[in-house]
Amino acid sequence: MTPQVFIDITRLELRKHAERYQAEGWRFVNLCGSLLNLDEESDKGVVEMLYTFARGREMENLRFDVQPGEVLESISDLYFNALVNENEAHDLFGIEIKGIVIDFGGAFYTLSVPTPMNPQSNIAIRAAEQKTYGTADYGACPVPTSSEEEA
Amino acid sequence: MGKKTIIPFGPQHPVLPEPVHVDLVVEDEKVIEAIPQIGFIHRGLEKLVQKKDFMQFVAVTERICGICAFGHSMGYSETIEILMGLEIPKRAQYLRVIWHELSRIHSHLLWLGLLADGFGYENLFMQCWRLRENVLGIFEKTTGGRVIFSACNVGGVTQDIEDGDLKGIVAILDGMRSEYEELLKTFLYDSSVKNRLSGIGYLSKQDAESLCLAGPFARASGLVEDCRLDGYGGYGDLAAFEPVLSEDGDGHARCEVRAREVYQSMDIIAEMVSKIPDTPISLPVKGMPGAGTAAVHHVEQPRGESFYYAKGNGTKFLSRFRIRTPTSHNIGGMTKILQGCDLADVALNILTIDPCISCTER
Amino acid sequence: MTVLSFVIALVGFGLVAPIVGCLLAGLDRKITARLQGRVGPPILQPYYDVRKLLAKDNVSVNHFQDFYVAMSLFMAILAGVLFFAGGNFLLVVFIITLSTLFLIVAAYSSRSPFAEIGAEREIIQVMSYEPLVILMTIAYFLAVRSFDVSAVLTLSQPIIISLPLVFVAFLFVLTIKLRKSPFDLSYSHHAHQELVKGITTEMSGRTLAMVEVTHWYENVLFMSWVGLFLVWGSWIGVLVAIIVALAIYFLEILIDNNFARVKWQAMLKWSWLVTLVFCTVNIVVLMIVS
Repeated sequence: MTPQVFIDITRLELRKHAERYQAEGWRFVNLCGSLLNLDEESDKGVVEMLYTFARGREMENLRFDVQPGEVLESISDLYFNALVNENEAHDLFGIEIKGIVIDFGGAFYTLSVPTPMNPQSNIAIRAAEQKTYGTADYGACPVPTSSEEEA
Repeated sequence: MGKKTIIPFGPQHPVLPEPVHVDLVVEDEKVIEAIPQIGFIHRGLEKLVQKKDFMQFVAVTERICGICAFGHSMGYSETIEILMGLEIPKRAQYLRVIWHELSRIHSHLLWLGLLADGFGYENLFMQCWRLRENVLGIFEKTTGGRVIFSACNVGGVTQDIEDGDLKGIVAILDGMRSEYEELLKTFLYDSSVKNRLSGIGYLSKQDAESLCLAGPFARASGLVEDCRLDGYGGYGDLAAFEPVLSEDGDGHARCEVRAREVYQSMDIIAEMVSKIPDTPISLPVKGMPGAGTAAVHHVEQPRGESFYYAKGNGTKFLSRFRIRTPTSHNIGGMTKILQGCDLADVALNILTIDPCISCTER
Repeated sequence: MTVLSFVIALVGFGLVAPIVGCLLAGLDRKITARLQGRVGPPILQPYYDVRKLLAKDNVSVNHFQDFYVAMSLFMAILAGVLFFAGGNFLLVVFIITLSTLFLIVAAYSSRSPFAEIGAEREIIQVMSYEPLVILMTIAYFLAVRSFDVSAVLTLSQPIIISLPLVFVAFLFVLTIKLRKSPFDLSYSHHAHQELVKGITTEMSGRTLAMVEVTHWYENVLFMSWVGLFLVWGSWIGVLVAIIVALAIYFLEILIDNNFARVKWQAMLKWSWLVTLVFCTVNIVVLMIVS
């Protein structure tokens, strides 16, 4: 089975870990964001980033949180193809990443609304979601009425 | 010093299978620079995980791509099974492997046809696709659908294949072998094909490793990268499995790797059919993914390693589902091999990475 | 060549050639489809295509290319008429080259990158087959002692007997002239190539219909050159010529379906090599013998 190894780090340690992985010959597999619960203080949400590296049959995942307004360092100079995922994270979640090798500046995906996966960063989307679904919280979706759901 | 022209290649182009846009800076039929751009087919499928519950989402993952449809539904189902700690019955695992290897055969035959079309050999293109119809016929007979066939869901597979039908599948594949042998000889040894494919888009093993390529694109440069070596599911019961490799690293090598993988898939299917046990085909799924749980998984799709990440939050909607497809990484490799190539080779270079942009952009 | 023969050729070639060319093109598509395991379009499909194209609106932004394409068509008709009227073979060869050059200028005038690169490739194609065509004309003169096409009807044996190697070289180059794989670099009937549609990318409607009809006239003319090698003073020669020409056309379709497209460097190298070796040997031998 794929090894399920999750390591919690902080945002500033990312670069150090990426350089270590590259020196040891690990390959870069994935980076993605996922929205945690709404940050009560501001309109933007906290995004949890996941970076995955693999070598042979081992796989390790680094997890850390990005608060609204924080800037990440790019690893695309170490791993060239990280630029695709970094541009995507910027377009979908509104995460600022500095130093991407080919930076599309928000024009990577042609989206009709900015940062759709992180709508807390856009007030107009929040208002529309509130109207359609009655809630704009993406961590707590409507709970089903019966506790045992038969598939 | 010739005049520099900028040729917009794609997204609408008769030779491209998928909409990718490349701005080629060309000087006298030689490409100086190539800047790729995607984003024409982004449908926001990952956001749908918050609207469709985790059992319905299988249908969404299937529709990410027409060619890798079964691979994505299988990857999703296996990830959720790891997330919830389910152990599905053996027969379901074997059936998944059989359908997945059939997907691999039909994807590689499709790609071989497109490659032949790319270098102007239309006859070979038509013959490859005519052969592929046999595989699509198998899909239709066993599941009812030719391309997107909803055979996989969380907990197992939705329908069974009778033992008699299984033997029929092996018979059809054996019948395809002799015709496929003819096509293989043309692809590998015909002089005009070799003239177009040899030496183009060369990537050394170090380049392939530093670019973190995936799938046959990496294996053609000598990297041993194949998720089936993990031995998860039905792949763990194979007697022996060695990825098909090549040392040459050019377009011809990539063609050879994919062409030989078709034979390997046929052998795997025959082995699975001979060993398949008689157990139920699915497990009833009770409950929901627990709060704060997360799972990762990867699957060897026809194009390379597909990575899945799922996060549960105690409700029937997943908090996040992430799919990283092999073409997202192979695009970096594509940019590298497009620099300095001939204009006539641009289409071939883009095709040899086997682009599946609809997977990349979801 | 008299005025009467010119008028007869004008009416005959001008009206019969497009019909023959259309049927040849239709047969080409049908046989190709059957070789590929498909059903294929009806044999009159090229005629339906041209009729559809003539009915379309003209939406091109560039009107100069209409003039050039019309001149290309006119030159192709003129070359064919001169040939069948028994005129000067050298003149026929140059006029048909002029027709291709007008098409190239039409592609350049459109200022689209695909058409420009297609035009460059067409120029290279012309450079590939021109040496052979000129050497073939010289060989013809040496064999027949006259540049007139009508002189071949006074011979006692077909010129293929004295010019076998030139005939073989001409067949090699015929693949380029008929725009078939492996040499369909700049324009072919299949749109799946790097340059979208090559030199005719920016043409549509009536202009594209004129290009299509030009190709019909050209194809008939080139197959007639094949027949020229097999005609002599008796009417059996004409029959043999027609049968052999059809057989060669079928051979070209077979070759088209069995080769990938080559790059221009390979095309230039191979056509010049074949031309140089075969034609020189044949002409030298002919000059020594006679």
